[in-house]
Amino acid sequence: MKHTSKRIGFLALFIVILLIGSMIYVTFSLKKESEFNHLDNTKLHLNSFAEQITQTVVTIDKSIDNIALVINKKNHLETRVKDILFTHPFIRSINILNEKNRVIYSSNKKNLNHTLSVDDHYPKPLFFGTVLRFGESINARDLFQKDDKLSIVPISKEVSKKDKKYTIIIVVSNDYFINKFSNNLHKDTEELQIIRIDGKVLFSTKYNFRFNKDVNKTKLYESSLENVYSAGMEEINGKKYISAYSLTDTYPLMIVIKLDYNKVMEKWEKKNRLAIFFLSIIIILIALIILKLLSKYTKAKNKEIKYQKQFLQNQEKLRNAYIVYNNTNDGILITDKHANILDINNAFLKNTGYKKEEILGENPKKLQSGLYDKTFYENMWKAIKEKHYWHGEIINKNKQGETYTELLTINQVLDEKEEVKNYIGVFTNISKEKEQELELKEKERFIFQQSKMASMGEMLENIAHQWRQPLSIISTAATGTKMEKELGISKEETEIERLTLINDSAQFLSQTIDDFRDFFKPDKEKEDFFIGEVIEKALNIVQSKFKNRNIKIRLEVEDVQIKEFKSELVQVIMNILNNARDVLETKDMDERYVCISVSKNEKEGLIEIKDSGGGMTAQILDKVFEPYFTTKHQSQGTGIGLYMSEEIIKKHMNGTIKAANTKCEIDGKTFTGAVFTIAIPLT
Amino acid sequence: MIKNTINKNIVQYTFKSRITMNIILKTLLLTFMTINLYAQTDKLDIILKNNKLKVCIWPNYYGISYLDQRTQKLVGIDSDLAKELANDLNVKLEFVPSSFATLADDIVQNRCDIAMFAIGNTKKRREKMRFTTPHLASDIYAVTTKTNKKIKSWDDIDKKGVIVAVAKGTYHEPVMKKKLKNAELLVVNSYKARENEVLSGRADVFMTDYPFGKRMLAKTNWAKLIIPNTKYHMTPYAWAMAYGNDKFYNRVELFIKTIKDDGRLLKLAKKNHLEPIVKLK
Repeated sequence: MKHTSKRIGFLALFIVILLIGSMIYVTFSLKKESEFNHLDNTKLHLNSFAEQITQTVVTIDKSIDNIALVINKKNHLETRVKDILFTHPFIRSINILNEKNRVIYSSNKKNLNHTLSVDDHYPKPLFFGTVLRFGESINARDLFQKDDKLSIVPISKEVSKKDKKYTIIIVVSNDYFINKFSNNLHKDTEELQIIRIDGKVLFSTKYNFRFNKDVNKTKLYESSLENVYSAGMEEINGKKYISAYSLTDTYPLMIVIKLDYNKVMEKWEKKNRLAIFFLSIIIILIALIILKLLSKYTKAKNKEIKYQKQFLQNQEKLRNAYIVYNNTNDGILITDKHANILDINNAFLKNTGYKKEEILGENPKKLQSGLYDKTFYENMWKAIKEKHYWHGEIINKNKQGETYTELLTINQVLDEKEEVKNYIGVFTNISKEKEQELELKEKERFIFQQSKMASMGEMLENIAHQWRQPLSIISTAATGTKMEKELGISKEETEIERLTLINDSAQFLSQTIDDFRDFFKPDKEKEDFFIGEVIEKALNIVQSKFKNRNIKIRLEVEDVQIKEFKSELVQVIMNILNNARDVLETKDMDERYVCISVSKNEKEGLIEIKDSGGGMTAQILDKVFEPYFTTKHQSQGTGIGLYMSEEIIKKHMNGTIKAANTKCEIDGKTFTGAVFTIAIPLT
Repeated sequence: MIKNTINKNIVQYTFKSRITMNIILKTLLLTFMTINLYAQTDKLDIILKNNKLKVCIWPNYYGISYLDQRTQKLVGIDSDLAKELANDLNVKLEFVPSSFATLADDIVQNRCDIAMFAIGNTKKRREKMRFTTPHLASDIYAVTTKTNKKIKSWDDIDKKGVIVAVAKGTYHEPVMKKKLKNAELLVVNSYKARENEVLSGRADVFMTDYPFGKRMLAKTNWAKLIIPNTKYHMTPYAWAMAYGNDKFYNRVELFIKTIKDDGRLLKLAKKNHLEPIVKLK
């Protein structure tokens, strides 16, 4: 595609360049043609003028010869001269000079008896005197009548008659020729010159021309001197001319026609500019059309490619969808708007046990397990109609009549008119997951039980500890009283005192039993209580072991009321305290502390339990809430205490429990240790 | 002219007298004196004495000694060489107009010291004049019009019905008289006349030489040059002078040798477009 566009682009560029090239070539050719035409015209003009001028000079030559014949016959001479003057109006006067150059005869009486030298006439004859010689142009009416407004050229020839030599001078009127030639020349652009070949310009049709000035010896001029004839383009004083030069046959005259190139070509240039303007517009239009077509073509092509791509993508998608449709583990069924099954995938057949032909055209009701009442299905259809889909767990029945749980999504497919076209049901058989869930719950229950049993052991130890002292008191009081009675030294006061002591101890024991019973009594309902009470209960249970191990408890308790399962929270606190006790027990230190604080923020009640046991490593911190993770000896720990604690806080109370290391200051001393922070939502 | 008269006198005296020894002796004495006088006054001496070399030219000979009517100047190899000769002799130069028709007479009548216009060295001419060593040599060429349907090549010339023009007095006249078997020969009085004969159709072709033929091509738009297939009749061109005057003859011969050696001849031949016919040896 790119290549095609490029190719078309290059072709268009080539065409435009070709057109421009052609235009330049045509313009150039036309210009050359025009120049040649002008040159040809100039040559034709020149030939015609050269012939006329030569003819005129020949006439003058013959006239002189005629006059020479009758030079001694005065009457004949007079008649001949008059005749010549009458026939040739370009002749101003005819004059005859004797050997001493004195005018002895003239058609103009004013010229008579003047002396005139023809030495400057050109050319000087090499052998004979019979050569026609040309003088320079003179501003005069005649040989001896100066006049700035008129100009003449004297032409002379030597003749002999009866051993006498004469010079006949015919004076020619320049103005006559200027008039004559100008009629056939373009005044503004064309100029005719007659040059005497020694380099003097005798004559020009140009207005205000200065006669006798030296000719510009251009190449064309030199060439025509050599070859009689030349024509072409030349530049004189920075101005361009189309010039043609021609030598006359035997006379020392050169005829020149010069065309002012710029003026002559001006019209052509104007037309040319107009033509170029229009051609340029055409070329631009062509270029634009090509570009437009190209762009259209490219767009169409791109669109086609896009469609093709999309088509291929759709096909691919369709293929993928088909693969998914047939290979997914999710069962899929498609129905029409009346819920009649149109198509089902392999997974559907696998899950339901039906064959394709058994299920196509049927209603999905066929799969109902009968476990749900009518309302369930009504609600389902209501949701589909309102939200265009339904999602939920449902238990259906397979061909064999066995039930299975599936996670089902039913989507409504609408057409352009927003009317129901199809329903698509996608379900995942989650029977196994359900079973696994049950298994997990069972396992959790087992772990919980395990934890309780572990706690029980702990409790019994605690009970044993706590009962040891009151039992000893009771035993001592009883045995003391008994002994006094046997010895007869009993006193009522002492007895009462001892009985009171026994009673107090029994009360304590009873209280202890309550505490333990409460702990073992499963929580049926959440109840309102202050966190402080829970802390106290937990401490009551564990206090004897703490005292034994010289662990000091620091309490800082705010009144924070929550509504939770009380004994579960006691169990959590006890777990943390027992862990702290176990850690502190291993440390060889004088002062062992556990600091407990209860506080709250806007949303939660907070319990912080710090110890001075040195803290936990990062590895331990990461795993501290994992089940069966313990740092203690196998005989001592089960590794489920903190796991259970987290389960209780997170799942039963929607709270959080975090473990970290911290520093706490007690009596000006800084201790490092672990901190467990429990946050429980306030009711 | 004087010399010739004396020579004749000698012959007269030799054959007629035997009358008296006295007369013979006197005559011999007179003759010797005269010969001595003239032997001393060779043409070269006269030229140098008068400081003037008179050279006969034919002013219509294109390329050789052509008088340009417009400028009244001579153009051509021989007019140029005449200037060189005068220059070498350190004398002034005077051209004397002549022609082939008047050549012999002009030389005999001593109108010029030497004729320098590419004169064909022919037997007939040698009888009357003494030729220098040739410096050019030309074959015979024919000129016809571009429109002539009869003459296309050299072989078309000597055919029945063809009229060939030659100018009287040129060496072409005897040569063509001898060579033409079938064509008719038309002898006209002038060079211009032979052109006119062909232009007007009274003749089909005129015979000329290389310089004239070339000039016709260059200066007219109608001429067509017909070149011989093989060498037709080569004629050496030289200068001519009166017999005797050995000193002058030798001086001219020396001049010819010099210009051949120093390149002047070639240079001027080139200038006048005659290089193909120059004889440098």
